[in-house]
Amino acid sequence: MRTVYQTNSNRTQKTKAQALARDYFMTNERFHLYKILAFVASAIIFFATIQSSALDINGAGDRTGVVALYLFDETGGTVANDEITAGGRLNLTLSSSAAVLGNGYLQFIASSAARSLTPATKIIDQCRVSNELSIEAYIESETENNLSLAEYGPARIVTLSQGVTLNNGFFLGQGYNAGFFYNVAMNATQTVGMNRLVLTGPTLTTDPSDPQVVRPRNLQRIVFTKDSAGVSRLYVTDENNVPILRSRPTTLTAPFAGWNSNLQLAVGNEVLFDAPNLPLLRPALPNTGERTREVKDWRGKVHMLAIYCQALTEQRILGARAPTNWAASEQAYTIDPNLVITEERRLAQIIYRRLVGSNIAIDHPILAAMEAQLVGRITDPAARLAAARLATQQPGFYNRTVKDFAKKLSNREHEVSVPLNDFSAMVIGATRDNRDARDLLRADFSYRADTTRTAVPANLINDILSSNRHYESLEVQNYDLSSVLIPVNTQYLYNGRGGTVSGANYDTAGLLTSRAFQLAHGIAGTNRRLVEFAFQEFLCRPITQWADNTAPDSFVGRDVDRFPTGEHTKYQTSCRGCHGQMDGLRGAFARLTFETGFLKHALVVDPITPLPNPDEANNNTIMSTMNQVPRGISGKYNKNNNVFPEARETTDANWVNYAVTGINGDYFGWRRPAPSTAPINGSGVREFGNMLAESQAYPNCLTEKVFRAVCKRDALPSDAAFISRVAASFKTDDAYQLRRLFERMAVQPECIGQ
Amino acid sequence: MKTKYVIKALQTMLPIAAIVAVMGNACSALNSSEKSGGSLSGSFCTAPPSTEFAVLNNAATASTVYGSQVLENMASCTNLGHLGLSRRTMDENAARSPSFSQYGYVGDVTSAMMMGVTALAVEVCNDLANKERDIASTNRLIFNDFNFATDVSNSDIDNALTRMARSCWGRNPTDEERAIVREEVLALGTNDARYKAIAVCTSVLASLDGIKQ
Repeated sequence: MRTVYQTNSNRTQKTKAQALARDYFMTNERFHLYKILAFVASAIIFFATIQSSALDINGAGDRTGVVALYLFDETGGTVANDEITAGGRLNLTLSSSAAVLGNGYLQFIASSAARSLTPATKIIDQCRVSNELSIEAYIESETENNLSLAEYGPARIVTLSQGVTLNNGFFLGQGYNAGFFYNVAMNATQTVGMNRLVLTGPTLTTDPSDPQVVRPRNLQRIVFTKDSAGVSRLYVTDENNVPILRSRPTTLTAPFAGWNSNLQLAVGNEVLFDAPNLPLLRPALPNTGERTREVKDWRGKVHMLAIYCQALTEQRILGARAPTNWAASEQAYTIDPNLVITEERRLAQIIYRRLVGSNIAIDHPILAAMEAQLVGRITDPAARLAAARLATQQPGFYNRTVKDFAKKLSNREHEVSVPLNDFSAMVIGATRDNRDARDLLRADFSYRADTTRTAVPANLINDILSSNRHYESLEVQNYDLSSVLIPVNTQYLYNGRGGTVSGANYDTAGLLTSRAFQLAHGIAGTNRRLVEFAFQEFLCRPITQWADNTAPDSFVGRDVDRFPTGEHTKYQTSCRGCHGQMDGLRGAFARLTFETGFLKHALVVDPITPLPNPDEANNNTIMSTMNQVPRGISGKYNKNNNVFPEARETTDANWVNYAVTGINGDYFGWRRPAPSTAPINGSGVREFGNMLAESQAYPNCLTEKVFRAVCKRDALPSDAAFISRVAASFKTDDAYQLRRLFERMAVQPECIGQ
Repeated sequence: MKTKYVIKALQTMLPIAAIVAVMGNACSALNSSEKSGGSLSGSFCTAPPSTEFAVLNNAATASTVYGSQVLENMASCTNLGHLGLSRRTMDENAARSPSFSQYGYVGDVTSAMMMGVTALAVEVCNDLANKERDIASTNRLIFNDFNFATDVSNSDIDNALTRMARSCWGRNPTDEERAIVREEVLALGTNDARYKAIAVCTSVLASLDGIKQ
């Protein structure tokens, strides 16, 4: 029978918090009081945050499967008690005064250990039977010996072993390799030299785009779990005390049946670290000095340690943050082989399949509800739309159809196999929230995961602005994007020096300033690709189709040769058509470049001083600076400025749109009332995006892309009238809501047949 | 070892069974109910290159699941969801996904893709069989007639096939399809109900109708 321990942990929490405060106050000067108070506050928040987890720092919670539990709440002495009496207490004896009990934790201030004096029989026996293992530890690691750790590590936080040489059992360790990492290793049999099976949390480096896994001198909860099939996962809490899956799910096929019966449990070092007459390592380690192979000393504090011979489920580790099983039906249903499949039910199935992207039982209640909308009205457009509306309420619509639709737009190759990114999240969120699709090109907003309902890396700089880790983790862990994405009413820009600013005053504009779009088109080069692909992706017009040799070339850059191969005619006939258009518009992105892993804005990131050579603009590897020539303008705009120095220098973010006449004027809808042929002028990304969004081509292009997603083929010229008709409804009847566009498309006979 | 043998046997026989069961019927089913366009009509089974096909007005375009949709489709129609899939299934998907179509074009359906779909279907069906074996028959979706402790009858197989077909094809199986699947399941030469369950399930998931969009 399972017993759940529910203690009045609030008082205990306060006691531990006070102990922590006392500890810091006694060892630090008075002016560190503010740091102490901050630590106490964060500790209390930490305790509160993890109430829903398997075990809290006081050992309260679900103890199902716990074989050994240490709270290290002794006020002193040399023995740390095992709270689990079943199978006999496996108390740990401190080997020296370098291991200190008191203040609510066990601290290692020098090489020492706390170990069982007898074999850990109950752990060995029970884990052999279950072939499952979980380790849960609340620790604070120290950073003093990082170089040493690189030489002799991983240091043992906890180990079940008979020594390194015999190579049996398991350990949870901390190592260093260009940064700290945690890892877990297990061995199946007692074989000297057998390779260990290792599961490693990633390495921390000084690059903020790397995950901040180990946070020295911060309280962290580590959970390792392996089930009987060998599936193993390693979780480590982040700065928000959220347990983050820090490893790819890996299969470690290490049957515990081969464990030696004499294995001992040790904390802080290997079991035989102080065994006499062991040979010293030769040569001696440069930073560590002389030691034997068995010395794997760890520095830090252990607040709680639990050993389970049971795998912990995702639900138990993450609580309310565990992913839901959205791909399975929320509604219970049964299969009725006698149910007649009507034409209405079949149509409902077709619409469902096209919108949600998967098959579903013909007997499912959602198809019954859709069928009810269609009975007697199967050809009625309003009835069909009502049925489609039910389908777009399903999680699969957002997690498959809309996600793949967005992913294709987010990369140059139009692949759906790319990881989820901020661009796709924005499209999914805007579709779900019935946001005006024009905002995707002109509004300052973004979407990210609700951190109270997800356990994903969520540091703004490290995981969202400097990497794609936040969104990638959402997808890897199969979170329901339709429910966990929340809108953020601004985009943020990173200054490269640890700070961020809201994009509200810095011209951020929806997808155009998303990390994914900038990574795809704003890296290196001259930012012309940003214009080219903005037109290609959002207006469905590749540059070859809107190039215009008759447009003025007053904005063509100084890096474009007017006499290629010595012929001006070649420029006039081949180069001017594209450059006249693109260069006129690229000023919109003049303050931006994507480098060192994030989008840089010239008014947010410090310029390189003294004034750099703009030809080196795309070679900058310093995160905190940006090549700006002149100040405030990305240097790439003025590189190679000696090719045709008489041309216009880019000194601001102004742009001009010459695609307002002739075929372009008609296609994009920018044609001026006759007799005017005046171009459209603007400044910055937001105005550029607004111009695209308000064009006639934008709704047509979105309609074409939704057609491809739902109708499973590209639109042909013969579909033009149909596309225009649906696009017109998208604008006027659907208020540019993408969800309605998908619904409208999925019920058209031109799409799904008669 | 025996499990491996049976799985291997399934992987060999079932593509043949699936193709025979479905190719002879799914084409006509597709043509009659969705009017596949242009040169696809009557030749869904021998599709032309993915982007080169004639289009019929007011006709649906035949397509398949693609990329990650392959596994998600199986997880959804069997009501396993992501959490019901084992690590082994996820690993199989990772190994097989390079062979899957990336865009869902009918012309992308190759033997390599179908082999991959079949291998993945076997794992998903293994997960489904394990799940339903451990719950009361009244709570099962597909194998409610199966007694996993003993052998199963032809009518049990028929019933499971019907339930699988209604779940993942959206229709009842034809008499020909029933006969083919029954024959192939019997040819496994096992009395183990779980293996038969996997066979029935795989014959549906690994078929062309199973990947149709």
